[in-house]
Amino acid sequence: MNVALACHKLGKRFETVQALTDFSLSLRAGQVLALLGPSGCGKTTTLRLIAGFESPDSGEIHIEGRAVAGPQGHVPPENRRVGMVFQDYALFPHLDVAGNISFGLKGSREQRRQRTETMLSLVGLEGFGPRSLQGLSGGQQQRVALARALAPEPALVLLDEPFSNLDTHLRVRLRAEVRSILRATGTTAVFVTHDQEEALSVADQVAVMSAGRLLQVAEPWRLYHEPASRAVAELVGESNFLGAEASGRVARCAIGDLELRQPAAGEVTLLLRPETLQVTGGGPVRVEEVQFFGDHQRLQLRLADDTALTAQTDNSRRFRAGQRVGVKVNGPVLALPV
Amino acid sequence: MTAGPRLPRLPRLDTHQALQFIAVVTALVVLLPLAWLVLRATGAGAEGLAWALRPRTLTILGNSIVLTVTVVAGALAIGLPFAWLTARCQFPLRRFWLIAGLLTMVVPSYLGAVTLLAAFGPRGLLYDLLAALMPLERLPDMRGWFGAWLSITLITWPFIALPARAVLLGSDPALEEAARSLGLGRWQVFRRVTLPLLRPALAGGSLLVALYTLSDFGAVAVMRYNAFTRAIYLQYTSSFDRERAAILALMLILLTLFLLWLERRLGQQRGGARLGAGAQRRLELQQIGRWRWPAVLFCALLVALGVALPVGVLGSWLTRRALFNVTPPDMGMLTATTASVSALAALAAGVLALPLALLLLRRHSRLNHWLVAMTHGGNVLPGIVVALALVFFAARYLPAWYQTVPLLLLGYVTRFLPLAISASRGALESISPRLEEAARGLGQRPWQVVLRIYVPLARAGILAGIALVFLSVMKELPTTLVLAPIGTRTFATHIWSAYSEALLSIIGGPGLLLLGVSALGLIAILLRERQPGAAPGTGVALLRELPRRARAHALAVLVHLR
Repeated sequence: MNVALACHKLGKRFETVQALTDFSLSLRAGQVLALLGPSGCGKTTTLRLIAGFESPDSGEIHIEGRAVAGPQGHVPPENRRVGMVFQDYALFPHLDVAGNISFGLKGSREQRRQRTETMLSLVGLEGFGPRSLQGLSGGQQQRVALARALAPEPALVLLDEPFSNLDTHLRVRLRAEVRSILRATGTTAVFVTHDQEEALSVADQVAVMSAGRLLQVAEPWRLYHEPASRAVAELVGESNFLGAEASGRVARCAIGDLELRQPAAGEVTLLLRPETLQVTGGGPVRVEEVQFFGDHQRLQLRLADDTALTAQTDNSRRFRAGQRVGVKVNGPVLALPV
Repeated sequence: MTAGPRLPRLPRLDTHQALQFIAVVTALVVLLPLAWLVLRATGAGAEGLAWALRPRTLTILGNSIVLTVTVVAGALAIGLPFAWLTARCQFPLRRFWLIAGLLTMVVPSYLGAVTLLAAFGPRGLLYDLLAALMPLERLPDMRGWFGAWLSITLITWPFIALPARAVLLGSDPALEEAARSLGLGRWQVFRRVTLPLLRPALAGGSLLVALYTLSDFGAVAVMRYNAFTRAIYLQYTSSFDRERAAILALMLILLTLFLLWLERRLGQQRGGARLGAGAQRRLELQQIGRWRWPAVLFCALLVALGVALPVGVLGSWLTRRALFNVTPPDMGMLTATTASVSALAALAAGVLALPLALLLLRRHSRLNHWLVAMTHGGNVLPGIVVALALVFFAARYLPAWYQTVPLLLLGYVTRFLPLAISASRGALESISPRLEEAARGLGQRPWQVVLRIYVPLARAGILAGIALVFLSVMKELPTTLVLAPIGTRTFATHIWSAYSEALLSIIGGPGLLLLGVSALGLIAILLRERQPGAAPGTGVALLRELPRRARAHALAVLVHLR
């Protein structure tokens, strides 16, 4: 498969802050990658290095096999064939919708007009060409920004927190829309987000970052179920960590003997996702607090040895604080190094 | 991973270097004549120093200092109450007084002085009125310190009033309410809360007034007060003694630099405590009861002396023209000359300002700041000094340029380029850097970004800068007086020479036209600023940057005429 983007041992320092350390990653053409991490973890820096707005102190960047940053020099952003969708969209306020979309297009007037029309219908804004930006909703502006970035058929599209300016309801809808547009056009894309749900639901590959380092790159399913470290597990999904003694496929811990996904030996930390905990009637575990969400509920539990656990259950059974219950685990569990 | 194809070496000139090159050339053009002037003055050595220290020269220094201090005091005494009244108090015609008060700034100092003298001079209009009622030999002569003080104070008090008013409007009313709730009376609140808030604005405004007073030529010359600017001009025209003119100029430069140094120190202390951007509650206007009539009287007196008097006197000259047997001025020719030199200088400044403003926008390096700061030299120093430096320099090294229109235009650009830079810069800074990145990402080269993003978006600011330069050139007296070739006359020099020859009747037309265009220009800039589409913050950015007269314009732009 074609490698659309390759980063090799990137490093970047801003005065006193080491923004990025030893960052390596490659992305196949047509795939969508999410850079996920808390604010200040270096994900936006990575994006800006790829786009060419910053240049790395060390390491190399290749786009479609061509070196764009590294020891051989720095290709300016306008020659990288990289489209960018900004967090605040950065639409040109002096141009109308069509003017924005056709901004980066070359060729005859007719060719540009046609391409603009195509892009407008791709993002579902037929007939919006002559409109000014003032009247557009947040979602519509977002779509114009996407159309503008896609119009020159870039090798790669970068999206910086693309949904963070939208309200929750619109965000969910637009996420699906953007995903299908990227799929339909076969576009390779990298987007930055601090919203794990967004990363897991939109991306083919998720890269988890923390403090300027890449912790793990994996498909969403694997990332959630088999995080490489406790740090990744903490950043992706909710977790209970429980100390245990493993021997082969079995680990002994505060809630009994549990089956492991992979054999292990010695002291380990077990990853117990709240939704894998099954709460049964009667037992040694005390319910400390109940939060009811309608379609599900969350229980704060305390084991006999004072360990705290969070469990997520369906809405069929009513629990009350102070109640005594039992806890079981569904399926095999993951053992992480301590 | 294999290395990609080797990148081609970039053959084109780096945009940033090109901008820096333009800045270096501009700074050199501005500073070389001044440097030469300074060398010339210091070249006089011990003899020159002795001349500079002799009592007659020191009297000039004393005159300048006395005038500066008294004008600042006068401007504070007028500006602060005016700001308080128009910002905080309910009294009749409040908005009218504000706008009318602002208009005093469009009166050039020489025009103000000439009309004041015509009204209150020994045998002026007031004398005519009084003499009809009672036997009267003559009125006391106002020329000298009093006349200069009055003319300059009448046009500089807005430099104090405007920033003070902005603070009074922008400060959080809760501060004063808190003080009241802590048991302070109105006067105590003013002294212990409001005045400290106002102090930076008052200090900054005072320095502007001081710089203006030091550099003013028109009023000082008309009122025959022997301050530096007049002494330099006399030395230059009467004795053609370049060395002594240069020594006086150097002394004036040092005094100006001292004030600028003070301003810088102050600016650093001021820090971020600037005009609060208001998400606060609206201020309630105070009811001032029977004090409102003295307030009206105060404002009316200011407007009468500052605006109505010049307009009235000029108008009376216009109508009286028929009584005298003087050839009326060729208004068409005069207007064409004034408009064309102003327009050419304004366009040149506007075009040159863009790369300099972009240079500061792109890289905030110390070098860039210094380069652009140096181009401000021509605006910060008194016009007579800048003009004289150019004339000496050209006479020595560029004889072909001596007494030509291009040299005049160069003088104007040197003087007023900073106005255009600041206006463009303000507009450019309000453009999000994301837009440049978006355009770069879409395949645009840096120069294409300038043409397709920066110029269209900053258009309002760039045009405002050009308009400011146009208005300033139109009114400029000393530069034109010294640099204009024989036969090239603008409104300013026409008024000056007509006054010198006591041909008052032919001042009316050009004077009124000058005031009218200036007033319209000011109003146009104000209206532009208030348009919803105009780049926000242009005014604020201008204010931060500008020295002197430019800042007065910027302040005018900034004031919301509510």
